[in-house]
Amino acid sequence: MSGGDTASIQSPLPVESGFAATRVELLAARGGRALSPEEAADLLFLDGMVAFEQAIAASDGSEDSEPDPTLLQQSLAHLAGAANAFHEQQRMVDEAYAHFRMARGLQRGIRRVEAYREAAEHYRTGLELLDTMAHPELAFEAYLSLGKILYELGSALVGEPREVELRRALAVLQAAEFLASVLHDQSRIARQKQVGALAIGERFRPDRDENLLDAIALAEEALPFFRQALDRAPIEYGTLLVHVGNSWLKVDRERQDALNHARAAFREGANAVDPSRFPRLHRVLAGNLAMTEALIAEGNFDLPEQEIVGRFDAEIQSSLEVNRLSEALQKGWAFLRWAWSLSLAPNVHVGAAHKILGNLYFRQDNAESAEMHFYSSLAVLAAVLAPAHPWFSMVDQARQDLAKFFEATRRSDIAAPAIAQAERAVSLAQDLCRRGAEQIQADPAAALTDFQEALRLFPCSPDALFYRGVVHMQSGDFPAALADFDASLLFRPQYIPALGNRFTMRLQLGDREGALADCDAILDLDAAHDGALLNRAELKAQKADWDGAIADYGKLLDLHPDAAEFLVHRAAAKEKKGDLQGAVEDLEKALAAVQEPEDKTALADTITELRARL
Amino acid sequence: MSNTSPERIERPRRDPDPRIRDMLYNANMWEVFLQLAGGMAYAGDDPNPRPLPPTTLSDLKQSVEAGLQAAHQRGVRHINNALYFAFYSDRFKGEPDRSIAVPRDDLWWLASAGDTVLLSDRVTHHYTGIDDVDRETERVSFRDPWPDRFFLKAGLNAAGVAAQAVGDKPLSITREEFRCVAVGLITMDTPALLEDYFAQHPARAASVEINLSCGLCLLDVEKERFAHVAAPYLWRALQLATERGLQEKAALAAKKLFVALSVAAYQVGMAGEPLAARPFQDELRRITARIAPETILAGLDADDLCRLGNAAGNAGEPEAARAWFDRAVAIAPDHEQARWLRAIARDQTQDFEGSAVDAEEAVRLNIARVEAIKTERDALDPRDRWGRGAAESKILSLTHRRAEEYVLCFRGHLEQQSWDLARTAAAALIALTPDATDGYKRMAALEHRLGRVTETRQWLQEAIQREKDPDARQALEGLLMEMSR
Repeated sequence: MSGGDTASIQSPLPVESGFAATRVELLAARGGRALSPEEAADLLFLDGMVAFEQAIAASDGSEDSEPDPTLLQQSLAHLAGAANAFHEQQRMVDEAYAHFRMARGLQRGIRRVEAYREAAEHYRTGLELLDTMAHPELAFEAYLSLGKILYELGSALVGEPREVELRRALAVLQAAEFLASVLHDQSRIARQKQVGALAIGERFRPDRDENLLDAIALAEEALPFFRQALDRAPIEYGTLLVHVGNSWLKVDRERQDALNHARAAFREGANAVDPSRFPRLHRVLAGNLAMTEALIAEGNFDLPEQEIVGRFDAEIQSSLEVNRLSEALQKGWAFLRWAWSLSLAPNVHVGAAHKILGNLYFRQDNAESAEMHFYSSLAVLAAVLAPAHPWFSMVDQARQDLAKFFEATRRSDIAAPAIAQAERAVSLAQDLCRRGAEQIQADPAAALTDFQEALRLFPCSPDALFYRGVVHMQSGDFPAALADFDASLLFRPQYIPALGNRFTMRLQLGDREGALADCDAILDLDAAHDGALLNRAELKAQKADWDGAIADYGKLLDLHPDAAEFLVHRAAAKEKKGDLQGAVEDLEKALAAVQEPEDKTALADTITELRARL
Repeated sequence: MSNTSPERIERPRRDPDPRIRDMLYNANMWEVFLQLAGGMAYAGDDPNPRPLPPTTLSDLKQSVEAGLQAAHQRGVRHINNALYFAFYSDRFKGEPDRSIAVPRDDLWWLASAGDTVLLSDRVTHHYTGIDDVDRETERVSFRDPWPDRFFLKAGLNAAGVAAQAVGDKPLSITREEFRCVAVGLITMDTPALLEDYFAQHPARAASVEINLSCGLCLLDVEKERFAHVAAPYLWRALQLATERGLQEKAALAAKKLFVALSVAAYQVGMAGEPLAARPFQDELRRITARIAPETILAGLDADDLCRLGNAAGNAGEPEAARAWFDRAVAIAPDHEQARWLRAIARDQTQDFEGSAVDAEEAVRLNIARVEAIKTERDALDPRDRWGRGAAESKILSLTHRRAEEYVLCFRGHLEQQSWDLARTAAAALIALTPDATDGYKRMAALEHRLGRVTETRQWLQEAIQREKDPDARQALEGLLMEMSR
């Protein structure tokens, strides 16, 4: 027993054993004499290792099994005692080794953040003691394990703290890479790449797609080794394929190809991993395979929601780092609009986006906007996160943000009532909107009062803004209506009813180009929107854009081939364009479609007149 | 046919990574455009078909690598870990610090679609692109700008090679023919290519030369991220050379290992995990225990020292950086880069007087270098487009650097209150880059220090007019408004 023992620490390769036998040998060699201090320290260490082996043996051996906690604690206590004794005896390598074993015990046994952090400290303490190049195998295992811990700690965080931890993980893994290369050992090189792939794949910065593709490339370099070592490292092999598949799922380019690559990785893993030995890992692989196949079958190539959130966050941070505040604000608004575009909204992402915008406006010294967004963040998060939700702590954080904002703007006195109001604001505003909408025709004044109150409670409600705009529109206050539809669309630019109403308002106020842009926006969202097609065709005709008008009437006729009205409109456009023959053909079709005798007569007269001009 | 019988007959395929595929596609598209534009002139058609100055594989590699780095700087998507490697057949004399000599049979394993290959029948030497390597039929096809007159067609070469089009593929030759005429190739990949090469050719791991070349080539890229990858190859070369009593190679390996380990230690340490640098530091201690540090340091040239200083500076250790640059300037007082970098380090350590002195000297050397390169460029054969392009690229890069040197001159003089000298530096900066805001902003800063409000405002206005970044413009406008109050 000494630092010369280079058996791997938490290696996927054979786990060392035989500490109990070594212990017996040590005691036998004593031959009745008292233990020397060195032997006593060795014995303490061996007691720790034997207890660890027993702790592992006491578990059920399944993937999720944890070592026996009592035996594990005993092991840690013995190892700590051994480390102290080695320290006093200036046996630095042995002391380092004892620290590594404690770290491994903590890492293996107690799956909590604090235990992981403690384990990281033991690895660091051990590495401080070691001449890493004199004991490269031992140092390699310690660096690899430390890198894995830092990766796991980092991936549980968000934003910059996550990046910091992952950067540390990657630096540590570079040390491991160097040692593995010096040792010229394929298995160590592959294992280092495996953990490196995991860590890089968790990073969002400086460029998410590059990180994901780097992670995939690194994993692909490691996979040949793990394929060959499947019987010795099945979990590592399966986990790596889960990672490759998941990374492809998140790559935002050539999505169809990316999904096909993901499917291939999951399929390889599902076929290779034995479901009877590793049911959880197999479930993950099979589940991801089924999900990916379903996405491909549906033609759904959207990025996963959490992936999009991470990307927005990283992009905003990048802009801030180079002091591009206006760019960061644009990205913050894009994040908010995306969050509102989800089928269930408002949602936690709406709350998160408001928080980001609050911070950005605060940096810009725009206290009014900052207040609105901090307030809205709390309002939304309090409404959408139940206490049992794993992200419920975001509500408390939002509460603190708002309180800090009031403190920074020297208005702490109003913090408490504002917080209390925010926490109920969204549900109250929703109730008011519902009630207002029900009475919008019968009692528009009462409805308006409801919408005003809803907006006082939740000023960033696109629904309340929309409804208030409708009331203004009905009462003929077009500028006010337009302002409300503008504001509503700022949050939800893909809401077709608001675009339709704004089209009307813009037209009423003489903004034909703006109205045309709204039609375009509606048709981008729904290419078969009759109203938008007709309106756009008419607007184009008014601008003498005959080709454009004819094209839009054509699209309407594709949808409604026998609609005489559209045929007549198109004929008129064709006539204006000078295509008399085309106009006659359309009118003849219309003539066949109409029923009323007077319509028939009128159309026949027009046809006669046009023919005369041919 | 000589056959090394590697377990895998080709290196790992690159196509799963869409970035490499894109880069190869782009390279191929350039060739298509070139053909559509009438193609590149065939050298033999020139009225005066004298031989052009030879371009070595290493020079060409350096040129494409510089193109890759420039593309990265322009924001083109890139692969962090990608670099160009030059491999050549060890039958020929190469440049072992910039290219890797391998047994000629290994070139077949290394060759891959998109590579640039140097072919020779000992009379004609020709660079061309590999279109595909078909491992089944054992043929390699080429994407050549002059397929009709490709020198490997039957009767056009002294090697007895008969290139022919098979199926719908361009002209191709057999593996055996390739073995006869392939001098070397340039390929883009990650350092994993070297790992794979050694895994598939285990006997090469015992070669001092190949290990040394791998380490030197990884260092040659001048990207700090490859230093820790270069170190193990240099480490192995050092062990092997020492064992075999190859003193010269051992000394070179030790020196470069020192550089690689030091740069890696600085680079890894930047992540905020000091222990990550430990193995590099431990190995440095071991080397310096065997070879006196002064012996190693005495063997380093100014480029090595600049690299070390740069790594230290990037790691936030300006004092250490300064010490490296002091050494560099001491052995090469006319090394422009060393002067420029030391000016930065001195600026960072508040030695403004020293910074200004170094920056002024760097400007002088920079101008002289640019003039020298222009003279060399003008003396080139007019057909030597590659040579001219390389010269232009150097001039551009030096001009950018000179702008930074003027900024350092300005700062140094301003902090010493040498107002006229500061003004001269700012004026020179404006003259060099009239469309950029840097010079105008510095003029404004100078006038502001002198309390001359009207002049400050005028220079700020000039800067605002040229500022393209909205945030920066807003900040300048804010300053201007503040001054108006």
